[in-house]
Amino acid sequence: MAKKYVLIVDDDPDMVETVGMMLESKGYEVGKAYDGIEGEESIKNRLPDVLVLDVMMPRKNGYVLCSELKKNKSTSDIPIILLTAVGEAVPSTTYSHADGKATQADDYIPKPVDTQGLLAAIERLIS
Amino acid sequence: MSRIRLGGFKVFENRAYFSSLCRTDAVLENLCSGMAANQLNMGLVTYVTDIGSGETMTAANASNAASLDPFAHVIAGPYHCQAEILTGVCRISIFPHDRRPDVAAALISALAEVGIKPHCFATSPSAISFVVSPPNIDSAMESVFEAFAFPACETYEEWLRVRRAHEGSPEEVRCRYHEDVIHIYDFNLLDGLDLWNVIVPNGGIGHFAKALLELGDLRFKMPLLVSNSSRGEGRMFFAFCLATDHRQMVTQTLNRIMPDRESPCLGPVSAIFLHGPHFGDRYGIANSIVTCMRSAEIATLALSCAVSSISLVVRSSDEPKAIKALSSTFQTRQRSFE
Repeated sequence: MAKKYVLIVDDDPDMVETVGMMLESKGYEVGKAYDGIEGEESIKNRLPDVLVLDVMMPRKNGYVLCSELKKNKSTSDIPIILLTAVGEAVPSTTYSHADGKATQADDYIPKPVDTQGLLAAIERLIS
Repeated sequence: MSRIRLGGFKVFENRAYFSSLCRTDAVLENLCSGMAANQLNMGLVTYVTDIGSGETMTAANASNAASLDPFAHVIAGPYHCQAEILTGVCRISIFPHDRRPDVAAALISALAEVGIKPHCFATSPSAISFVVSPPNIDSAMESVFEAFAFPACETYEEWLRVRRAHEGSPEEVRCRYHEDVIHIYDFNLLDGLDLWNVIVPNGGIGHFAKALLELGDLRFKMPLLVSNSSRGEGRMFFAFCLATDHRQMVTQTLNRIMPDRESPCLGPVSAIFLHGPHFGDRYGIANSIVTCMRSAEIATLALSCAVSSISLVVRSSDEPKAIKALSSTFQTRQRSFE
């Protein structure tokens, strides 16, 4: 059976690496991108089974990319998990939880996220 | 030679750099505790113990010289160490290295070819960071673009144009929120490793890069690389980890390429990687690790803080004790180390 493909898009490369190693150890194929534009290009090349998307990123933030993907017929079915440090951890951020919900993301996990919780969310969306 | 394709890079300019060469491990503790007490962030820390001589080298990269200045004076007094502070330095990180020695080799080699000896190298699970002085920043960046291809920009000039037009230099953030127990995303543990030391004269860094390149060709994985140098010393301390299973091949490679160098190795050791939210721009995280290890009477053999991770190397016999000690200081949102 083909491995499920999870694309992680985050400008924190250690976050990408940590989550990627965890997912690979669970049998997933992992794609990595480090900003919204690169993530968009990666999705054009191959549709992921699940997209794990950070919000605050250079060039194109996760909210914008998420909204665009959900409006596009060819990508609207991709399950998207938004990750961000909005709210309690970084109160100065200009983003809010309401912004996240408006993007129609399938799940929304505030940072600091524990990787086991993220794994559970991915498995739930894939199933 | 074709460029290695990477995901990206980060540049922090106009920073300060502190380094010391000592015969005591107290410098690392004093530096970390002093910076934490003053709520000062360190974007990069490296610590290397020379297995042969017992010398230790500690280096830190912080936002400004004033934040580091007191420590140079403290260190110079009781410990009679060589200590120096440089200002205006630049910290550059490239990612992901995927634990490939040939990625580090390509970087070191590209810099060596234009005569640049970085003050230090540090790795995180994803990135290799290095620090260079002002006269070398442009040359270093051009070398990076000659060795690696990045999706966002094709050339250094293009990156400069984009940065001037849109983003400016990223500012380091000093987060002031406090946690009684520091949360981390997760930790990774690698055991069955050897810790290698290679002390390279300034003119021999290219040979070290060649050795790493060969180890990369063998598909060996190098989860950690740290190096420090002291300006007056004319040499660079490298420490790196490779699987103990590869010891014989590594010995042969190093002896063949650098026959006049002793390359002591200590094993088995374990590498512990902690990655947490904003670890790269919060004060006190490195101090928490160092204090935790000292309280548990565990010798830190090497330490590398870069990007948003802290990587440390301990003897494998100390690993259970280290995990137990770290579990009281760090935890994930839903579970502790144990």
